[in-house]
Amino acid sequence: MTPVISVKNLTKSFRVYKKEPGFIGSIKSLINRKYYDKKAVDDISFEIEEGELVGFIGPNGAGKTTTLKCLSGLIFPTSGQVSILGFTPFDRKKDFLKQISLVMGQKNQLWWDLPPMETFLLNKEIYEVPDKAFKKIIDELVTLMGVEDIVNIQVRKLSLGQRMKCELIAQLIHHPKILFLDEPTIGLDVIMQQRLRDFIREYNRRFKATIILTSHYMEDVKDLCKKVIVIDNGKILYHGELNNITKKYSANKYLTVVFNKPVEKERLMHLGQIKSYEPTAVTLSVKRSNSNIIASKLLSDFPVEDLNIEEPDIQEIIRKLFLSAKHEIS
Amino acid sequence: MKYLKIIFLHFEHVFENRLRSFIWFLIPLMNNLLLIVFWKGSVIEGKNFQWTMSSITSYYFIMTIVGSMLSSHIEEDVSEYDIQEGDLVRYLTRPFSYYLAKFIEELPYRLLQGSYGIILFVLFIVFFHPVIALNTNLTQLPFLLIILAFGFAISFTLKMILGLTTFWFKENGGLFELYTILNIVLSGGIVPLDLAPPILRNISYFLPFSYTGYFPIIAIQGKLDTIEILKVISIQSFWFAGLLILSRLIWNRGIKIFTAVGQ
Repeated sequence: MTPVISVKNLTKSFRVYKKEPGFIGSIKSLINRKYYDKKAVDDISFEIEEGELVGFIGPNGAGKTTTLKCLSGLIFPTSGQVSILGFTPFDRKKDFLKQISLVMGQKNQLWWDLPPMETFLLNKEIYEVPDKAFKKIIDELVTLMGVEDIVNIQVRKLSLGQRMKCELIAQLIHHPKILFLDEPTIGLDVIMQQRLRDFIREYNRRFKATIILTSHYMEDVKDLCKKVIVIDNGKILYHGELNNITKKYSANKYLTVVFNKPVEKERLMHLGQIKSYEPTAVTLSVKRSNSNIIASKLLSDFPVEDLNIEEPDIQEIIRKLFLSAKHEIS
Repeated sequence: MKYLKIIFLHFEHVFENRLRSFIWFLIPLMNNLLLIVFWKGSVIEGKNFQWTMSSITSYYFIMTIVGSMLSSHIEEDVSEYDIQEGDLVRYLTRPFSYYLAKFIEELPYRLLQGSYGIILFVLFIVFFHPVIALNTNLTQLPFLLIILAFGFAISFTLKMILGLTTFWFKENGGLFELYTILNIVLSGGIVPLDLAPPILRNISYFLPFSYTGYFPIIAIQGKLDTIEILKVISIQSFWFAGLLILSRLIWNRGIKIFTAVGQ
């Protein structure tokens, strides 16, 4: 399959200056400002195929949004090549812009004083969507999102969640083939987050859209993305299946055991690292390769009522990944 | 000690924006210098006094309407909201030209402002008819409309260029203020340029500002014959084309350093 998004050696630097603290520092800066280049994205390369829903994960300042801005043609890369559907994003060709959409959870693009429907109609004209196609997609999206009752109410009177739903619809009227979602669930309550996730999943499935999602909520990524790109300090730490991240970066699995009689802690210590202990329950961290053997041993030698073999929490693995990357840099 | 710290912090803040404080210092100085220049030209050396009470009254009245219709004020939108707060993203990710979108966005407001002015003007004519001097030559009407359209287009493009400088200078409130004063003086906003000292008049005729205010006003007043009107239109079209190219160049360079901050 040919990739619809191709990024080769992308680097984006910003020119910033450092000021020494205090009044003397200000005077020095007034006369002679020392600038330096800060690399927000540092020589990254990746490819994404049609219809993929990829999560872009990283801590604040990792370079996620900068990458997204380069991909959507908002900012000019310092070096490297970006190709989206065969276009160079920064050229902002009409045919390119008609096939992408950028949704930012922190920025409202709806007309504040008018009902969402007015923005939908405006976007219809901007993207030159024919009447029939507009009616079809609006009916579909409004039903899918469950916002039939609010599309004719002034935007300023809608809740954050309602606005975000309408925001998404407004950005999808032209059937974008590529969708960039930057923190789409930020600030929403858990129910609304789930509804939005369901919608994004369904949109991806139904329209075969390629979606890049950045989010601070791991739930978004776990729920939606099979593949992830983990980025920190402008560099890609991992690109691949989300499930493989656990295999690659976690050597251990967790065995959670419930006993029907109390078991002494000392008897369990040689089996693995004890993460939590109660006389009738224990969680052991064991080597991935030994997990089945240890599980058998527990079942045969202990009064086991229940036993679960679990992968470590993905959030924990990613946190460790960031910490180890920071450690390597320092 | 804490007050001293606050003073120093404010100094540090001022020094962050090096140009701004200097321009704010220049503004009152320029205001007063310009008044001196005007009085020198129109009172002490006043030789060209073909203006009557009626034409002067008409001039300022028409200026109010023309100013509200033709003077665009998009620079702060472009600077503060679009570039500094990142609203430009809304335009960049959609298939239309930023310049054209802003131009169209500005039109309803200008037309509304202008229509207020026209209503006021009609009322004024009804009550003070003898005082108002207007162009009654209907054959010139299409040319007047062209002059007005170009006046708005030049004013808009100048303000667009001004706003786009924010790509490089984040604190350009002083620059905007400086522009406003220059524009008022050089577009005949204080006195009709006819009454200004020759040097100021010549500079004004050479620069684009007079073609956004002074010339549209005197054309409406009927002070220009058809040949002069055509000359004004040709100069306007030259300025508009030049400024359009300049704004395009600035846009093309500026957009490369746009960081979409705030997004």
